[in-house]
Amino acid sequence: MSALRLSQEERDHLTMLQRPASEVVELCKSAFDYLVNGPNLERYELLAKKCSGSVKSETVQQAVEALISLLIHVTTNTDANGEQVNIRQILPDLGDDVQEVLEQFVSSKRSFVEGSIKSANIRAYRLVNLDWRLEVRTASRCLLQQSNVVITMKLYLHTEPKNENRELLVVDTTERSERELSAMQEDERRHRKDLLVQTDVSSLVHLIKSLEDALAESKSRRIKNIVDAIH
Amino acid sequence: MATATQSSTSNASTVDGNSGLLSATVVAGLQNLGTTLSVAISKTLIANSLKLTLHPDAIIAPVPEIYATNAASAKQSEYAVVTLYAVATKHGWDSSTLRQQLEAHGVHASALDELTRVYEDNRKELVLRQLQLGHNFPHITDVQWRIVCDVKSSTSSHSSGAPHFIINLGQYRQSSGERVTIVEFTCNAEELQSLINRLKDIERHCNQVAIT
Repeated sequence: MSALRLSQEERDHLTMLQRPASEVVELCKSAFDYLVNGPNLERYELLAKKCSGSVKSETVQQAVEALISLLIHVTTNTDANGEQVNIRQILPDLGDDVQEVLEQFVSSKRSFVEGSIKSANIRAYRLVNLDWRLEVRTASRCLLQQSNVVITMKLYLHTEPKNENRELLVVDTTERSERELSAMQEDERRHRKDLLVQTDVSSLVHLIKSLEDALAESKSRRIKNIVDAIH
Repeated sequence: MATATQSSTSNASTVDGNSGLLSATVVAGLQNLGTTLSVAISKTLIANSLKLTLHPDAIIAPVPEIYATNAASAKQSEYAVVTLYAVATKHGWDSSTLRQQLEAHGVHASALDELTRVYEDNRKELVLRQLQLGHNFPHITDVQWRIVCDVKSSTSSHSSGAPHFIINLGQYRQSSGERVTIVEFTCNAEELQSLINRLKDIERHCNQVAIT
């Protein structure tokens, strides 16, 4: 598992990295941007002009995509001890400073990529936040005099794998075009669900008790053994 | 039920401020009980009307006698009884207020006794029934959970090494007992713990409010 193989095509695309570390940093930044916002052709063109030597915009794009692929490979291929694959082993022909940049690149987004990959296939809603309000209903059309304690809750659900990833992806909206912003909002709409629900005090107590049971069960020896066995 | 609350001018003779709450149609329906309809039939009719109010889905054994001779009056009386109880519950009448109302409208003595007795016996159920009416957010009364641990997936060749929870919040339909899912989501142990803490927080605040 430790021997990570890159395809010849990927290797070809990564030859772009044989340049000063400062330019590789720019490429890595573009790759991060790709993770959040998808491809950005204008950015690649700009970057191609800035790079030393004559570089085509397509070459930059391929390099960025190869970086993403490298990031995914490195993240998913941990060896038996859970240790990360060494960049220096995969790409030995790169300069020391460039390898350092790449190591930082793959380790900084590791948890993000990991979280995304593991839950990418089946996207269930995840509870991100919960707001609540304690209310007493004092009257309704059918019953003018009542005092009924109601707990109203707003559940914020998101299909994005992990809450912490959302926070990693706090996006600077100041320099975005109108079209990009609306695309981002559309994405937000598609993956979010906010839900208003209510409950009463005795149901709440029952809820807490049941969830505590679940948590306690997950910490039991039996489940620990199973998890360890399949991990 | 809206019609029941419309004020009727035909009952100007009554003394109480509540009097306008029952329409002429309802009053006439109540007056039929024990007069146009026999005492025994009235009794069955009141019992059936109550049952229908409390359990709209209930299957009520057909009683053809009720409609045999005076179908129109019987229908009107059923409507009247249901309305009477709805209005009484809505305004929180006690049984003596109900009795006064019925006396003021000249309802037959046997029907009056029966209506008051049935109301007295079922007041709590009527209030509970009426609490369920109207607009509410989905009311959670039940939670189901399961713990799963991934082994492999189409996108990762490794298990993530931690179990996660699938939580399903729902409710039981009052009438059929059928369970309805309101929301389902997943979380890991950490997130579940924080959810529990949040819910306990609410519970603590409820207790505080109850004490003060």
